[in-house]
Amino acid sequence: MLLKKSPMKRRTFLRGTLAGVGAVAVGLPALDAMLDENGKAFGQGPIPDRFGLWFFGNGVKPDRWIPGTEGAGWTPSAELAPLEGVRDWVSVVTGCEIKTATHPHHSGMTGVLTGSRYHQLGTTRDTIVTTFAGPSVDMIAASHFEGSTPFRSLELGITRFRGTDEGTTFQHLSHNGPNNVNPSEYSPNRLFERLFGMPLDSDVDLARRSVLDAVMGQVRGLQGRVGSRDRARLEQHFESVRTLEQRLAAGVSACMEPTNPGDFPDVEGREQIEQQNRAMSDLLVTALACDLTRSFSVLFSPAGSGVVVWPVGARNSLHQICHDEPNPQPTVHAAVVFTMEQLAYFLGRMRDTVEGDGTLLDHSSILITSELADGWNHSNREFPLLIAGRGNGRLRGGVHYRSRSNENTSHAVLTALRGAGLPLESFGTEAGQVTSSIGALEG
Amino acid sequence: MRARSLILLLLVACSGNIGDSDGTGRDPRDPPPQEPLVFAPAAATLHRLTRAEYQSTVRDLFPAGTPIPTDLEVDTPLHGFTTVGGSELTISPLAAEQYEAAARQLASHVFSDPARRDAFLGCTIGAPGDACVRTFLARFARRAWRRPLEPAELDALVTLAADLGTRLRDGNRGLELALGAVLQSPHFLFRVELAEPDPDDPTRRRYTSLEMAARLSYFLWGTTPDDALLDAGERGELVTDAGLRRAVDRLTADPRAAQAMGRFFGEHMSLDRLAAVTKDPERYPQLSASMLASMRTELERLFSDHALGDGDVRDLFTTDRAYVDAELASIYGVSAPSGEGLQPTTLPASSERGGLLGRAGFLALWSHATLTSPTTRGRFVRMNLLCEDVPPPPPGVDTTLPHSDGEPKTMRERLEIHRSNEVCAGCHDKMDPIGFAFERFGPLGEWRDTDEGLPIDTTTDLDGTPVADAAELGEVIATDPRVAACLSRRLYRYATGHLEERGEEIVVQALGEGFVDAEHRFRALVAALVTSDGFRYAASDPESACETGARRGCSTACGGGEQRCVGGAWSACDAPAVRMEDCNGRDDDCDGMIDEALTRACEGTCGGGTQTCSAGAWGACEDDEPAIELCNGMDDDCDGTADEGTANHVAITSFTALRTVHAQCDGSTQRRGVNCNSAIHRTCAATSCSNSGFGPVEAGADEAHLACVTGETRVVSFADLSARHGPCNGAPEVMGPNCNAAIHRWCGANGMTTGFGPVELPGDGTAYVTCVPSATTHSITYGALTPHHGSCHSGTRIGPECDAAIHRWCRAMGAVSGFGPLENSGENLAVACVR
Repeated sequence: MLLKKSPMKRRTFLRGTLAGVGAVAVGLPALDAMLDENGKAFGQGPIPDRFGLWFFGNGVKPDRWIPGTEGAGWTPSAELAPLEGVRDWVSVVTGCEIKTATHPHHSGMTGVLTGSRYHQLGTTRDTIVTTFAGPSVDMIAASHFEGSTPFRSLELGITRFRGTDEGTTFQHLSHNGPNNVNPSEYSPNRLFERLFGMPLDSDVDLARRSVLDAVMGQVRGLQGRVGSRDRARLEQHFESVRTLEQRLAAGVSACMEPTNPGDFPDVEGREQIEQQNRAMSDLLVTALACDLTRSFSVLFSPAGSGVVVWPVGARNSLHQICHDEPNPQPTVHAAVVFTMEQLAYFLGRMRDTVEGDGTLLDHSSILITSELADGWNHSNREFPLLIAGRGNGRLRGGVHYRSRSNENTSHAVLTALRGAGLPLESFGTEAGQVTSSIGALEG
Repeated sequence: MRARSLILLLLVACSGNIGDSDGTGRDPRDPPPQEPLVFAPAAATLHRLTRAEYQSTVRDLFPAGTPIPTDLEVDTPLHGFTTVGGSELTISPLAAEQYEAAARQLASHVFSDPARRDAFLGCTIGAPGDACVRTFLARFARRAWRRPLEPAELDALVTLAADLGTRLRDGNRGLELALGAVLQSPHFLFRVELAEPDPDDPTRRRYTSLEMAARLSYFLWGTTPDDALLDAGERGELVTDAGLRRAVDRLTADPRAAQAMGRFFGEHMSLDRLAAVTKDPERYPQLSASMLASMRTELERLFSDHALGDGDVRDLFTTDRAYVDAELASIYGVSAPSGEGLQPTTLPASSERGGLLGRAGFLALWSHATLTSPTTRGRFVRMNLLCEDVPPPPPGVDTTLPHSDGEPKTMRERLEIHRSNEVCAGCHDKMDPIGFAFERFGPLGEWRDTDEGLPIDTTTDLDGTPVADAAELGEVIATDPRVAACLSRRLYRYATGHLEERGEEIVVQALGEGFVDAEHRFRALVAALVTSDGFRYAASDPESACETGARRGCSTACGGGEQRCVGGAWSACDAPAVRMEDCNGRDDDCDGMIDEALTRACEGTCGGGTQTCSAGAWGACEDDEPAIELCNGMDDDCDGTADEGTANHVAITSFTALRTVHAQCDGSTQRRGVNCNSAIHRTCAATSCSNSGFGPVEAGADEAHLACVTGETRVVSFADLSARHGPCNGAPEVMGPNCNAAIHRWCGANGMTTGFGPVELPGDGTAYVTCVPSATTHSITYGALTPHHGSCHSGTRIGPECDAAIHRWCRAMGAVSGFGPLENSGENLAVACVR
């Protein structure tokens, strides 16, 4: 896998152009200001590709997830019914499995997102603590897009983290490598401030960059004096500081400023999941429409999540009822439907955001998956996989592809990556590796 | 076939006799006898400061009252501890942003007040980068980096401060920003430990005396070393037995040690997770954040009583002492105490609770939202208290519990499947039976007589020792030798920040044995740990060790060079130095960008302008326009004096800081209102440019923006206020829309335009109000405010949303801030803007 890195482009943003527009409601074709007269080109280039990862924990109920028909125009199953409004953009992949499975939650998480085994920490104990062996799929995309937008990537969390401490595999979604994570932001208020907060004045920004330069020099100096493991950790520190410096160098990217949605504390002991999802989705769609980033991940709920999906009547954590509810597990099923409703809100906003002669969803490729197939038996077969978006014409959308031979989940992941324009020859390693995408889904 | 191999795997994994032969695990109690234990230290590593360590450290580095940053990454605990995560994880792009913002926030607070700043610096800056800057940076960075700076390091920081000061034409501002290069440095964010060759044993390295200062301080105090410890470090005392003991005696006697050990205990017991505990609100409407906090505090108090004194730490498992407030008392079924906060009480034997494990902070944590969980309760005891491992179920195993067909079953009966099915039994036999002892305590830790209407059976055993109930389990656990050994092991892991390695087993075992010999006094364990070889020595890293005289290639961002081996360690690389970027068309700092971020001062109408470098040449001098004078210590309007007439400005602070001014304005229970008014008034009055203030005009989780103004603060009786607007009569109404109107009218009638308040309520029938003669008043509609904050409309009228909306509306009008509603009627209202 060879990816081209380009230096930060100093894109001239829309400060001024949109200043008079003021509080533009998201969903209007605000980006037309960025487009040429024919509405086809974007600034100096074509409309950009975007890649996203949308993850939810504890799997699905496969018997109610798999659509009844195959091929184009699939018939919605009970669990996919909420996606009806965006069905023409969503392809469903069923019948695939993790080929590197040795452990319920850990294997599935790393298997689908890196195409590899997990990396276990500490060899002297058998309680498993793991991390990702390599970058997660969203970071593969972020490397590809690096330099084209102010934010290399964005990571968002929706439901509150209630996981375990069995390593970063359980605690985080986005990984650059082993024990090298991009934590998710759970506060809409902080995300807003990060994306749209007041810029400081340019003199101060220049001074901040000088300080960051000095810090980078210190990191480089220290790197020469430590072992290889710490050198790699410092390399990430360097990269993290460099990313901020480059963003300051690129200047303010005024586009349209949404309203700060604030945060959503519990109401009478109940997590405000829908409100949080709406706020985070709205901010993310605005960020994508403004081309603040081209790679993102949404951690709706982590592997083995303990979220209580109370809107569907759940009284205990999702992980718990996956194990405890008698078949046919109506509450678990309802929780999956609820999760897909939340996804549908996000995809709906993407579809409604006009950009050039299409919509944001037309120009994206979004992988949606979980860490296992079915929570009650921790199965790694019949994995839930969706690919949303038309990838600027690379993806057909609206197709159900069903494998008859327990194919590798990595085929779907490679399809999604190629759908976002990544010129990859393969995805995954060892038993998880594939070199072919799913042609039936490609345009 | 597949099922059979899974069974074998499980049976092997949980057989309790896992040797090194399979390479996956071992029983920590029982190393293979054929291999005598030989000490081999672990490699030195960089320890990223945990969130708590970072916060404690900056609290020590900055003056008292400095708001401590809270927008910081949440720690990722590994192998049970944040310190282990700190040695494994690194700094993400988001964390780098947070550290950058935190550094600016810390520095700007101390520099925003000239008196506070000069007290902090210990001198006054005359010119950018002068002797005051150098002296201060040497002292500050020594504590921040836990060592004296190399001359070149200090030069670089002074040069940076001077350069920034020159560019910004303000030496103080230059230093303020340059502090970022101290606080974002890898030398600050990581505890850098490289170790040095051990003169007594060439096969290993020892932590240097200064590195030992930091190791001791972060373990025993959770923060950066004080000057005395750094001095001892510099004198080389901390590599000697006697010096080390002296330091340990001093540090453990300090109250900070109790706090730091409390942090260990919290992680040992997974107490951080309590805050996220959720129960079914219909069944447990009484559950609140304060109740969860009380659960945690009780356990911490018990730990403090039984571990930090001279007692036997095992008493924790049998004590009948409890700490309760009304909420906890209701769970324990004892009478609520009369005093404030948690009060000590004694649980009756009939409570069957015994010590630590019978308390809500353990029982509620390891339960589901409506059900108990003998499995997770047992798993915690097995893993965290006995240090034995339990693997998770393999993929493809049906983990649903059987449900009866209409017949009620107790949780214990439902878990019977774990024992009857051989796939499950191998591991669940290690967890569920322990948990059965706690079955009398429900999901919140409350007593229950029955489960699903059926009698509860708590008789069980701990690995063969019979147990009747939770209290008896506590007694068995207290005397189980595995518990003391496990506590030693986990404390060692926490202290060293890594999962203990095979070569350290001899140290870990000796600590456990010494702990027994010391009659299980926790302080003795701590002292033994920090003087143990495992804490003092590091592996001889084949990468970093070298033969004196050897040479090797190396590089910097700017090119290749060479390192020489001096005294068994590699020297600094002599490759071309990374220089500060200069305006010369070259990439001096070798970061791939040429002449980036370069400006310099030039002469302009306003005393000076700015030139920007582009492609190796300085651009035209861009004059500063005379600007509106702000309260910032600068001469913004270029009339030769700073801050004159700058009545009004927005100050950014935190509820953490406001709380220190008025305890009730804590940001959680109160974020506005009379107590916050008072805190804000006093905060603004303490700065040089204003004498009162209102707000918060914008607020975040722990962020509050105050509008500080110069006005006329007057004492007025509620009788007078009520005369202006009846309902503002002081009993009960002291603030709100009616009092806003009364104050506005009173100030207006006294020739001072308008005003806000009350800013103080002495409680004697008077109020302090601040009139603002310079304010402008505006009649507008709520419709004009809504675009500035969607939640401010005629249905809201007053509150934080409208405070922000009025503030923003005034700012859009070119004012500094504003307050209101002064008057309101239907869709119409009046607001005041201050300029």
